[in-house]
Amino acid sequence: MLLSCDADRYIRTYRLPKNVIIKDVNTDKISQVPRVVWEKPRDWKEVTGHSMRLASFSAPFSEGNGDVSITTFAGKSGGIGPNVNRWLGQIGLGPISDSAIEAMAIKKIGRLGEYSYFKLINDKDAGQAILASILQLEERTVFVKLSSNLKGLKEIEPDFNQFCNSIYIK
Amino acid sequence: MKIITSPKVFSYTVLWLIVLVFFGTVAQKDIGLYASQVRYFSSYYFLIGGFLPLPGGRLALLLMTVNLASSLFKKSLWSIKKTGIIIVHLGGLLLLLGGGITAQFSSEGNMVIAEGETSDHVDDYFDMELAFINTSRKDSLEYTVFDAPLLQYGNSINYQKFGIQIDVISHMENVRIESRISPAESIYKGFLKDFVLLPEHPDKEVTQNRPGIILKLSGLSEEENGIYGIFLGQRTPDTFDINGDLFFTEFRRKRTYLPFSINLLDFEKVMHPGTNVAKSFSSEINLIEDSVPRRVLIQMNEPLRHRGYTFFQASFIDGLDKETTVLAAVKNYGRLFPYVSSIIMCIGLLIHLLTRLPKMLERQKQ
Repeated sequence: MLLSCDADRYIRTYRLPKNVIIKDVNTDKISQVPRVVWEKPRDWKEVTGHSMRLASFSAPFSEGNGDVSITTFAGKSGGIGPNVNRWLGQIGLGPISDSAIEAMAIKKIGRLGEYSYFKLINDKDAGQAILASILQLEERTVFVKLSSNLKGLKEIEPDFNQFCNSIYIK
Repeated sequence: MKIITSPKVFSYTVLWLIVLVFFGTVAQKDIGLYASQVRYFSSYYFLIGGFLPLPGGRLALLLMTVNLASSLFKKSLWSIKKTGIIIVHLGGLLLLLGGGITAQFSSEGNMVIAEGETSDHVDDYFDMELAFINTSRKDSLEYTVFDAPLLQYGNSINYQKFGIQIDVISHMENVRIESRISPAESIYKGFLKDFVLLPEHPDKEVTQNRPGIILKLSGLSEEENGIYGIFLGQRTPDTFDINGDLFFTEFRRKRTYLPFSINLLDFEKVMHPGTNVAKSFSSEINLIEDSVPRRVLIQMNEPLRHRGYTFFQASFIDGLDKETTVLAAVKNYGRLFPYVSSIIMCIGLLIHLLTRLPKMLERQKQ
């Protein structure tokens, strides 16, 4: 009870920037492009991927390997709707409206704050499925995508979630 | 008054401190360094066999300070001949004062940095804090942090700014996490819908424990009011809508931000041949202050001292993707007291010796 009366003494508030541009101490130059960093799940192997990708990983599951990519683009990079519709096209589904996409988005919280999470499954084709996260920052957008079959998606999903949550900007 | 100023009190207290050091050192094996330190040295008293109270280190040192200070009021002490003894007494008092300042104000924790990473905060070894993090601001995260004294079992925090009440239902030193075997009641929210936090016997090394806390939150929306469980290192935190802003929580070791940051360039360890025992390890770092880096090598017995902080090479973590160093960071306002008081006491002893020397030589001649 006494503590509660004096509680303000034990409560602090402060702010820290979401995007920190740090000085590259090795080269002594200011890095203007924030570096996207992450914590890779132990089982995933980094593989060579498309040059547009920041990194590509091979994520093993019981029937093979899922393909995980992480990319970043300046600005909103087309927004959420066109990108989700593009991915729907990749698993053989047609485009849907922005409001349907909004309803489909699961809001999650990672080290960078809130991001949108999509589980894209084609009920008629279990061979193709996509998990994707879109992290919209002030000046750029980070896309994380897992392409696999339905079984792989289910098995890799916990690691994929952890991976997305771990992403931050240096 | 005579008893308080008696030199015998000082002598017996020194003997008692030797006994405490012995038992405190032996006890470390069973209860760990921190618990032993708290029980024997940082306490005013401790119980033997659960009923017999004995004076702890803090009481013994307090008694010693009173004894030494009061002896300065003895009239017989204040003569030119005893200048050396007076100085030795003052040096001793200064040493005890430094110990008091260290006990009261010093802080210690560790910095865990992977190669190539930069850190600007120290995590306390013992104290925890609960942070509510507002993610809805455009370019910053706003932290509202509740310190350890508020997080004790049974405490209730009415935080007007958020319009919420936080009741601490349980605060566990070490927890284990288990999946629920039956569906949770509707009062359990977030992580506790699928899992339970159970108390686990604490490890004797505090840093090996995973503390957890169970809170009842009210004042949120009807759907979000309920019981939440949070633990150290929780990967997917629960989220709340508070006044239209999106928050998540972190239960973490108390964090102290530094006015500078440390970037780990390279960590090196040398093992004893054919064993897994480290022979030596060192961290090559950049100490970055006002965007200006300075290269420093921290190794065993060669700490970095900067702005009142001392960073010791304490340990390392194996098995992660990158080599990771663990630096012990200590801020000790009383750091210089032992040096200064030792010099003062040496000067006092020297003066005492010199004033006694003519008499001693005379006696030898006779």
